[in-house]
Amino acid sequence: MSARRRAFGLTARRCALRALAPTLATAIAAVVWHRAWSADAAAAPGAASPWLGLPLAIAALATTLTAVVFWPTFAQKRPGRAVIERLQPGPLAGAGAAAAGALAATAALTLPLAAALAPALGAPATAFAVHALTPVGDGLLDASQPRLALRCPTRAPVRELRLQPLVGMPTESWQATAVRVFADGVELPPLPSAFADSRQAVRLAFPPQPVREFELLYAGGGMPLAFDADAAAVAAATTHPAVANALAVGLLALLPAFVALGLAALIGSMAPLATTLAAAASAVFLLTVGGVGPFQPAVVAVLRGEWLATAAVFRAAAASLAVGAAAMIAAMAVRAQDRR
Amino acid sequence: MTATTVAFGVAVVGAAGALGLLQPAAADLAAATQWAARPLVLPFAWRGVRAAERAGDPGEAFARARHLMRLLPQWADGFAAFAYRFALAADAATGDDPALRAERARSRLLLAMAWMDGARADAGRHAPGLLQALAFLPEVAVRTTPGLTARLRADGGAAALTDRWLAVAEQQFPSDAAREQRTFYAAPLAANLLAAGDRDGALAVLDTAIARSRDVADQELAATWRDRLTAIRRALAGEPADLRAALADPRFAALHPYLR
Repeated sequence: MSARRRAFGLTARRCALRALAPTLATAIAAVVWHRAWSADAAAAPGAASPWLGLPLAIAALATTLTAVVFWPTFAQKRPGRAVIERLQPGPLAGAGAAAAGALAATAALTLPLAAALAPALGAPATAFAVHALTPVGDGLLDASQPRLALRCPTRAPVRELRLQPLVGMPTESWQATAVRVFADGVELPPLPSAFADSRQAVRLAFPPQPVREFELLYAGGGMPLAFDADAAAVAAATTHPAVANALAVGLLALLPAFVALGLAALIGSMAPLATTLAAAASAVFLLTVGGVGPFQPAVVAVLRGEWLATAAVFRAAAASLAVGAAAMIAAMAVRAQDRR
Repeated sequence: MTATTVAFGVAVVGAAGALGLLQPAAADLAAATQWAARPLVLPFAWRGVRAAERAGDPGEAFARARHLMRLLPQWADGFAAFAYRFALAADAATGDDPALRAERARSRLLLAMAWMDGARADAGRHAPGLLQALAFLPEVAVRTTPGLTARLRADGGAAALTDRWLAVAEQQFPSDAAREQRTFYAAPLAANLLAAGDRDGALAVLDTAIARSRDVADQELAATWRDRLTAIRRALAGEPADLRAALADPRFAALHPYLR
């Protein structure tokens, strides 16, 4: 077996064994707490996101810290580091393979955990994609700009329009602003209510159909409406199995661990273990509980039954991947310079 | 034996002694745990509530608010604010018939009221304020939610719900303000009973209000109020009455349809 494969296998095994108990304990506590706290959980499964996010975050944290402590070349002045550097080829002296092993262990924990926990916490049996609509122009709708086009990013059939505009101060009267909706020029049924409050959610269901562009027509009222990036979306008609969605969030839980391990490899090339551990733990915390990156919104989306395999989620994940990869590359450059 | 071991031993013995002396109940330990967890959890709990509100799901926002308020059980204004927001939230769904939407609004209202009621135990000196908020939630809800007035008739109507909570407020926190508030609430309550076809109940409410008006601090105001209520009561009982002043007074607007 090659030195890299040994580093991968040893680290994966150690990480899985060390992270198993805290992850399972957190998962059991999460389910018990959720059952005890949320009598009407079925009505709002999205509110259970802390109980799904926490065990996944603990799995990522435990495997990351175990890998940093276990593999000597992750930090300066570790016992056995000099020996490993001589035995392991490559600029990271096995830290890259160890990081891959830690990620494999994380996946081994998070994938089944997400698949089991999501339905237990009330995630719907099927998931559907939600696509944000792009306003054409400045996104304003009032008496002076009575038409607003919203571009649909998908050609797949859609079944529901979701509007949540910002409502401005009234220019004429305090009357709520009514809006008529057209899909590719054909008028849809009337909206259930006019807009009187900012972010007031209005949903309009219609027969599934592909739509290129929605047009909103100002139909009276004294309050101007502003449609920003979050103000309009459509729900796709196609449904997907919930288990695939849960597995996707299990995969997204690898991102915090990947970024943290990349940063650990970089910081550990210059700093001792305590500093490296603090940096790795902080990175995992920020990217999970802290809500930075795609993990936290993905956890909420899974429980709401919103499909994760969309371009928006991929874009958000790509940013985290880029940070982790850049940290790894920087770590290689720093270590190569040190050797010279 | 090292210094660390000795220090650890002293700490364990001290902690055991403190627990033995104080004998904390389970509720004390739960409160201490809440106190310790609050700074760690609150920022994320708030963010969750905001995210749910932004997503436009009142049910999810309310569920998250309930998690949040478990950490702040004495914050009566917070309970009132979240309960009002949930109960008065616009129904975003379409395609349902109005009866179903009114039924959902009723469920939200009753759930919000039950939650506020449950919060009274921990509200301390803010409990009267919480009761006031609780009492007027049904009145506000029927004004903002189409179809809810009719749907609440089976529960006695919004005014009856309000009067029940005002009675609790008057009983548990007796004060001139609480007493007078309930006295002056007689007009909408009587109108509510008339709408439900309960003329005897409406007459009883008016009789009680007329009798209680003698305790109102501002006797000039009370005399005017009493005269108008008496005229209304006579008219409703089928007796001759001069209703000009009552029909011109907007405080009795809820009763006007039954006087013409």
